[in-house]
Amino acid sequence: MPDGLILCRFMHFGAVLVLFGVGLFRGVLFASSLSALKAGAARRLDRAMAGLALLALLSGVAWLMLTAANMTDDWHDAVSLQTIGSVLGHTFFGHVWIVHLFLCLLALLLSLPSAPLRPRLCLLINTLMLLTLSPVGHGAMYDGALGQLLILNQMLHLIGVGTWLGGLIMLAVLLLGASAVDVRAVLLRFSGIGYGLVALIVVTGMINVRALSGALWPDPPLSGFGAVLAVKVGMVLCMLALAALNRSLARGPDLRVSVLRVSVVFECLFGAAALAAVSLLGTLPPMLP
Amino acid sequence: MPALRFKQILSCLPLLASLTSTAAFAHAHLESQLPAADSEVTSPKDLRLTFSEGVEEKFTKVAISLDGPGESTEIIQTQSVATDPADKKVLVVVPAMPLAPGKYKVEWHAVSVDTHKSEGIYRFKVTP
Repeated sequence: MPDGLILCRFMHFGAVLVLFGVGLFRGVLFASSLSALKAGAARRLDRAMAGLALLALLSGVAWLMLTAANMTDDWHDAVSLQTIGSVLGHTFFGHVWIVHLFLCLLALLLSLPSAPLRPRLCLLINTLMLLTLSPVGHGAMYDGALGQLLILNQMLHLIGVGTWLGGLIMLAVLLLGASAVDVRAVLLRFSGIGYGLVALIVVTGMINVRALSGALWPDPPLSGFGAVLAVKVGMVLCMLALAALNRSLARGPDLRVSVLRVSVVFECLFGAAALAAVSLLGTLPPMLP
Repeated sequence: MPALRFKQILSCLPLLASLTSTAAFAHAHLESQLPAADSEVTSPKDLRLTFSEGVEEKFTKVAISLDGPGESTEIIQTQSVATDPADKKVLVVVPAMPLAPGKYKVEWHAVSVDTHKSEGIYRFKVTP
């Protein structure tokens, strides 16, 4: 059950973060630069986002079923309407999840090919989907003002991460497909925004670790929670190194697209690995009693 | 003015550190219980288990058993297992009948509000 939950968390967080980040990138941050995107490419992107919305809904439902089974230690409860109803109606996770799954369904309906295009509404729904992920998991372990601050901190962390990952995916899409978009301008602007994003992610991440583990780094430092956290930090450092490389490439006299492609794709892969690590972290105790 | 900036950052650190003054344990663990573990008390009307974080009453189970003569044990029926309305960290277990004198074992399986599970056992004694 924990293994299934880790996979669910990975797929769900990935889908929701990318939906938000790509939506923000296309609708707000780079709306004007992307007007040069060909209609065919834009349509393909829309279709991919609809796929992600479907993945978000399915993995969200699977997450609920596995949580029900995990709470009772009985696989049968994954399909027991009574247990699932009890989780939805009587637990903190369930209350959050009712709202979250409703938003996932709405996002899917809005992204269907037959639905009228409402990019702003889509982005709003995707943002709310991302924010309703913040009280789930370790963020819920404190009550009172401290708990609310930790949830707020987690919201900022998720927004930072989503913007970064979604932006990376969009950069990869722009670099891999031949398009009329001025990639260099987009890249320079995105790496400028990146400074702020990385600062936000690092600071909110440190606050999370401090609040959850009660120390600057979990104890024991290199096993269990500490080890997985170290892997995650390592992945993020690799992403930062590649981001610095991308920036220097974008500033160079001639744009070496082939190197950039490899670099951005690898940065995406490191991002996925960091996400996989964090999916595992959510199931481990930050500190042993 | 990098030095000033650095000073400002430094001055924020204690604020950050003060975020959690008490040690944190995700996965609810039992911080205290009434009657206390290994204590001797006169028949209590309920058991109060205080966890390190909020628990879900619907999915938290507490089994009380009385050590009988020899190896045998008797399961004590409970009337209710519910969190204190004022504090979700406190689980109140009311036995269906007053606890007779004897040695009791309490086995708990908790699901915390962050959906994690934990479990444990403690004992106490009821004196006449």
